[in-house]
Amino acid sequence: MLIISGLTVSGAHDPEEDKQTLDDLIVRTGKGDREAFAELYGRTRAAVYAMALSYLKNAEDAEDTAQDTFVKVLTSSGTYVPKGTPMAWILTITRNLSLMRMRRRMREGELSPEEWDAIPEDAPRVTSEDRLILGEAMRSLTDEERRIVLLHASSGLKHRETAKLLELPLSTVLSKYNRAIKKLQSVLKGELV
Amino acid sequence: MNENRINEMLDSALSHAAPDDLENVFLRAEKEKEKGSEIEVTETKTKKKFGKWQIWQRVLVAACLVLVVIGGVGGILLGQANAVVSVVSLDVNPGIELSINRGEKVISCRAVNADAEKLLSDMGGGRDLEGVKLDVAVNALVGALVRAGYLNDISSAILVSVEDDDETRAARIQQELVDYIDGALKGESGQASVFSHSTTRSEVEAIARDNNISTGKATLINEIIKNNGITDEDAFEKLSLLTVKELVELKRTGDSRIPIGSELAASAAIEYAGAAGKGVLTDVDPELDDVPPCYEVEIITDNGKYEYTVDAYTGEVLTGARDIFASAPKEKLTEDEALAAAKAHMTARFPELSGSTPEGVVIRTDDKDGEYEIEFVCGGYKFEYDIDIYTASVLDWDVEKINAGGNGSAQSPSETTASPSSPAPAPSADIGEEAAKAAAFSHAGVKEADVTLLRVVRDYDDGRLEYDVEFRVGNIEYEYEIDGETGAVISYDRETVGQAGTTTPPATKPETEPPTTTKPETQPPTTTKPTVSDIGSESAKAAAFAHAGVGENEVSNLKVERDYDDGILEYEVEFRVGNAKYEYKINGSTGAVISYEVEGDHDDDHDHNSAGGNASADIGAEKAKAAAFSHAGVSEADVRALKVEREEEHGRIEYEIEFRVGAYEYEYTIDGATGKVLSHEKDHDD
Repeated sequence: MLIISGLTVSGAHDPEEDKQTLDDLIVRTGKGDREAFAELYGRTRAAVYAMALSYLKNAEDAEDTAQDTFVKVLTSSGTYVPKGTPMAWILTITRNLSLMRMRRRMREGELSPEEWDAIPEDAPRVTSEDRLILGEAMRSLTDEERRIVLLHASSGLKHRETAKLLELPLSTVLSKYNRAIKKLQSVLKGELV
Repeated sequence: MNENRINEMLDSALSHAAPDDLENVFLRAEKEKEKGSEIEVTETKTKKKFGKWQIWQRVLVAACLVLVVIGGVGGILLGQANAVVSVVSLDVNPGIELSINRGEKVISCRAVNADAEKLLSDMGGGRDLEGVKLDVAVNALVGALVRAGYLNDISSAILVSVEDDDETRAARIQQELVDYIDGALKGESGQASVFSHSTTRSEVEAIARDNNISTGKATLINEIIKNNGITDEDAFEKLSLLTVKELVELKRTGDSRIPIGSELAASAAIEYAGAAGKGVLTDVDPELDDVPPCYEVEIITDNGKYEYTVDAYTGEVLTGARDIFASAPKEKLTEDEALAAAKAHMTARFPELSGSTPEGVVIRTDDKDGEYEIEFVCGGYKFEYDIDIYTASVLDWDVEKINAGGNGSAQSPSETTASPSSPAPAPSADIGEEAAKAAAFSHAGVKEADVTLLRVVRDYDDGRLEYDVEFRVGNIEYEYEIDGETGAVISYDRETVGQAGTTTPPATKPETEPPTTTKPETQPPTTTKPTVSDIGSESAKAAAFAHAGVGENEVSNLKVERDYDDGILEYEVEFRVGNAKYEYKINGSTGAVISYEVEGDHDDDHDHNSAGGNASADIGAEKAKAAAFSHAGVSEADVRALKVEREEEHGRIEYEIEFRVGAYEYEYTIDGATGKVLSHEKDHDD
């Protein structure tokens, strides 16, 4: 019951314990436990947003898709079978919804290569440092690098799991991750301490 | 800044930027649930499409609205103010009938089915519209339909019917309504097509009420039964279950059979997929005017989307994956399986090709979109498929007729079953095997009578029709690639066989391609070949020899290939001098040495780069960039978002070069010592 207390939303904690917790939260959500869903939402919303943003490159679309994901999670959690991959389950939903939205955008001709705004102007909690790092992640990284780095930072997924989720070879994920971190280190050099 | 700090910053930024509105999620989920309890397989929010010809539409929210205006007869009984002069019905599945009086005000608004009742529940069940002007009422209704998601899809249809005994007035009201609705749709960013007709009031009214449809839709059904010659006793009842879009398509095809309907098509696909009882969502798009007439059904699961085509009349599933839940861990299909799926799809549409074997098969893996891109030629048609890497669903396909050009290899599928919904693009020419052979013989300066071991293979390479011609004359083996459209020599190779160490005889004729004399007269203007100047293979050879500092008489195992690499004409010149093997790439327009390699030379066993001259340790960023641009076939002027990074790894200098050109993103790793391309990637920048 109180497994979740004392765990922080992000940062270093035991990944296996985390998975167990998320699995439990989804199952409880499926049984109508709103508090469990609230906890789940708090723990995963950054990763879901990261996934959506890394595909859609547009804050507004990413926000919509993140919310769509949670509606789907809430309505289909009743059929969730815990398999020890709760984050992957949620992020797969996000990925599918993002791809759907991308295809729709493409069909509607709304997609231009440079069109992205990582952060809306009126986001009150976003600091200038947030803006800087997210902006660089959008600007300096390739699509795949961005997906890999943002997911790694926010989801707690292992590279192996990221590889599976993004349907990429593990070696690609590792090399792109390292390269992306190097790039960010180099562009942020001198801008931040 | 270390890696952990970057990750922390990103995590914190994302968590600050991510939406934090739990209430909104609860609220929307509630709404979804309400919807879900009434209609199992419905989702109205997102509409999308994947292929050029696949326009998806939600089952059961199939969009078609009938608006019927009834007028005329009621007048005498009800007195002027309440006299019904017209009935307007709107059918979008919700069917709504508006009865209007002479002043074109709404007297009553009737929901003809449950969908309409739901829609009107916000308008006092329709009573709110009473006494309102017709245009205002129609505007309100169209707005409600758009908001409920009925008209957002370009495949949605709205049927406006006006019934009035006064034909002139009926026609006028009809025109006015179509204009109102068009205007309202534009304002609401709806995308539906508007169909309309006007009739006099008739006996369809009773039968329409019995079947819970509007009189407008009933009139359309009667027309179809009559025009298509449908003899089924229960035709009216069965057709009344179809959407307006299905009816409009059916009317167009003139088919006398009755389609099974979106619902049955969806269940057929679900059952076939082994997804029954899994609570999956489906998207169904009727394509009754396709060949064969079918429903395109998409099943949406948490694991992804699966696409099916279901025969519109038999309910047989024509294409799609079985047992989609059985294969829980997603396994990628092999290329053979993907090709088999493409073939199955092809033979379903072109049964006469079932005996033919696809030739010139090219399969590419596009991991980013999760698809195999497959190209092949079969029975004189060129097919292109995108096959889902996991499900074998056909995501997109295209067929193009290859014109045999009078010399031919191609027998065509019968005209009636040809190209699906778009006409095949302008046909490309095929010079035929004989002309290809002749071109090779002429270039080699040999007579067919002297030729042995002849082999001609028709092939597609990068979408280009080619003939590979191989033959021997004496102890010389020739290999040619001949452009199948123009007869031009794309590349050739000549090797002495049987007598090791013999030098290749010098060429007997100047080799300036293409040999225009061999082109058939029917040849169309060339479209695929870039119009760049060509120094010819002799000059290319000379350039390589000069660079290597050797004379042609010292050279053995000479091989010259003419090639286009990313749009750049190149000659690849290979030869041996003593123990050393030389490989040159010569720019075919300028004669410049693009790159060269020497192997086996006792003192010089490593790569060189033309730009670097005597392979110094670091060629510098400029030259590394140039090597990447040259490889990519782009000019610096077109390049955007260029990044060059110099790295030292394992004691080697490497340049990481990234840039964008048009919609593509390039990534190169260039050897800092030699300028050689160590790795490269080209991605569509999505």
